[in-house]
Amino acid sequence: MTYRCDACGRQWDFPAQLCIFCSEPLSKVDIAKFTVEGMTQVFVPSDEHPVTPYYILLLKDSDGSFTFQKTFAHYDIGDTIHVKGSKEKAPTIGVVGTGVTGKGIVEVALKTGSKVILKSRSQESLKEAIEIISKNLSKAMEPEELESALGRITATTRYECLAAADLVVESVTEDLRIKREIFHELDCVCSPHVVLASNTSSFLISEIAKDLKYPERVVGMHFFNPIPKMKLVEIAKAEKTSDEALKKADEFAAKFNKVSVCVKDTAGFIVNRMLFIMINEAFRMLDEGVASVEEIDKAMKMGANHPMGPFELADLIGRDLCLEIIENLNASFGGNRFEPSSILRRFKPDYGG
Amino acid sequence: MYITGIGRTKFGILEKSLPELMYEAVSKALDDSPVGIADIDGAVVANFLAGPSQGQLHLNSLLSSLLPRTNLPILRVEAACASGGLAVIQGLSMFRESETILVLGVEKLNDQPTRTVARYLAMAGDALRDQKEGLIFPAQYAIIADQYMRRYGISHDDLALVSLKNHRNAMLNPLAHFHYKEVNLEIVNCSPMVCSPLNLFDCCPISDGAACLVLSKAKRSDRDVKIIGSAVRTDALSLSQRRDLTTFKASRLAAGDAYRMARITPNDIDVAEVHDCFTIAEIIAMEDLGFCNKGEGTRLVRDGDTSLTGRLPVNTDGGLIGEGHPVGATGIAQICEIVQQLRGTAGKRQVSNARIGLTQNIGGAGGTAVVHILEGLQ
Repeated sequence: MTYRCDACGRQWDFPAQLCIFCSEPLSKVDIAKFTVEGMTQVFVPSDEHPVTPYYILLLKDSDGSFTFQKTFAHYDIGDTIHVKGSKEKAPTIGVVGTGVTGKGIVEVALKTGSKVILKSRSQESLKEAIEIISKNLSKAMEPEELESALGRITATTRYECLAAADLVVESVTEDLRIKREIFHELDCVCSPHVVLASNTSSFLISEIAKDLKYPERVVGMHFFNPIPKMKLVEIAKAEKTSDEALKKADEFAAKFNKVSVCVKDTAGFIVNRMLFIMINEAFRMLDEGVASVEEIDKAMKMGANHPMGPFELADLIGRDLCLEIIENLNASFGGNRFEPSSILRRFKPDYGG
Repeated sequence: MYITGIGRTKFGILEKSLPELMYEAVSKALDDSPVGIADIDGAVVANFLAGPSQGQLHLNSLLSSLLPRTNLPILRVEAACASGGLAVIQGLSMFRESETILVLGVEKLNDQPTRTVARYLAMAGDALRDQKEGLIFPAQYAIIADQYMRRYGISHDDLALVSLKNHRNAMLNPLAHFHYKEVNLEIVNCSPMVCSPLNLFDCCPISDGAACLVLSKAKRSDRDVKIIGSAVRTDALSLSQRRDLTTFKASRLAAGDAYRMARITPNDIDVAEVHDCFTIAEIIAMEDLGFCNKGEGTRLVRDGDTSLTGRLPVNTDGGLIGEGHPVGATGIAQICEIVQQLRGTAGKRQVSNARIGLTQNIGGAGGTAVVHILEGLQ
């Protein structure tokens, strides 16, 4: 907000009462449109701005006055920014992990207009992921649209780059130690109001968020494959998760055109807890010789109106991943509710496809 | 008004503490002058960041404790990087009551982590408009360089020549921060980016050091140098509060005042020390001080006019880039160099036939500008 003397045109940034030159009362000037006039990219960290590189834009308003704005996003000279600070820009989604789920989240985010920062351990996996994302998007987009969507991806191997994200979704392998390490990095890099979400399907969010500086911004956001098709996102609330973080996660889900359900922080949330009982039971039936794979699938499709049978579903998910999830659920719940079937267990050493 | 003695420490990453640096510079200046400590009537201390970095304020009293039982009137002056220059102005204004004044500048920063010092140095900019947006000190000059390059179509090669010249001069100055460093264009161009378009060799270092002058109302010896022009001007604190970022209005105005006071023109200047905290600042100084037209600042360094053997040698001691930038001491060290050049005692970097010299000391990104014009008596 600027305060201006209409008599002499001088301006102040703070609510001064009278112009010291003209003794005239000042009027408020609310300028909402800025042009990028110059910039620098800062590579050296300082105490209050530890994450680099960042840009500082020199913005000019319609009146010819300058102002500075820090940003992590790149702008070109001449770009127009509306309302300093809020920018009316699409949100930036950080995605950690380039697996099927990670790629799916990127696709959905790009399709719904967001910017994406995709983080992976290697340049090769990033390149590969972007090729696949590009191929998938090309089926639903015109070439120009595709180009603009791909232009909104930033691929990186550095956590620091995720500092620019408004939401970060982690979707790496189901390994608690790795997930906790990642969240620790994110906790340091992302400012405290940024929601950090895990796409975990079998760990407690409170376990992942344990020992973080800001555990209240950590939520579960469990997407379902194939993500562009499946409408559901389970949003899991851990003990420490704030209502604000939950609300933001819900808004992001809506932005991705997903339907969300809120669930308490329990292993498997709703869908996996139910689904893997069924998948495990299907393998047990196979093991016990109750029926063949085809018969069990047919029975569930025709009799329970499932779009695909448990074995088809297990193949889509990947049987190794199924076993991993069932084992995790088993560890969480104890007893024999999720005791993996012996056939499923046999897939572990050399599952090939 | 005359400068009758000069003294300074080496500049660089130094072991000595703040009071040790102060004491060394004062002692050397008094040794260099026919005036003794008993003749001193008052003093001014210039410093920028001893408060946050050393936890030490109240520097006028600290100086008093280094000069036991003198109980002199002492003032402390702070104007970011122009603290030293402003302290000389303050010293001159004390001559109504005094005959002889000490002006001391000091800075001690190198015992702190760089990222912390980066935050301290950012205090020279507007807290609300600049610091909050991450506009650390090099970023301010990076924005200036960005605007200058866009307007006048110069390239980084033009800036590199300033760095090269000043580093070469520093190699002739044993007290310079970078006296040990042979620098070539490749080193300058390949150094890491700090804030685009400025890389490491576009920037002055963060130095420790102190410098001191003995000012006298009366001429004391033939080695004295006469202060014939002295002016300070200010401008809005944040670059964003100005309209043209490719010039420092405060610098233009202070230069105009100083030239008028000295009754000379820019053409009369034989040697100059300008505030090259970043390469772009030297280019802009050439224009603001009237040594060339607007937009032609790069030509002087490219044509060799500002080299030691040129028509108007600039930053003969290495400037802030080569000699170092112990913030509070810088403006005073610039005057020390001009005094040596006018006395003819600048050693290997002595320029020929220098009679009138100029110093330009800038605070922050041009929020304060101090210009002094000195005349040799020999």
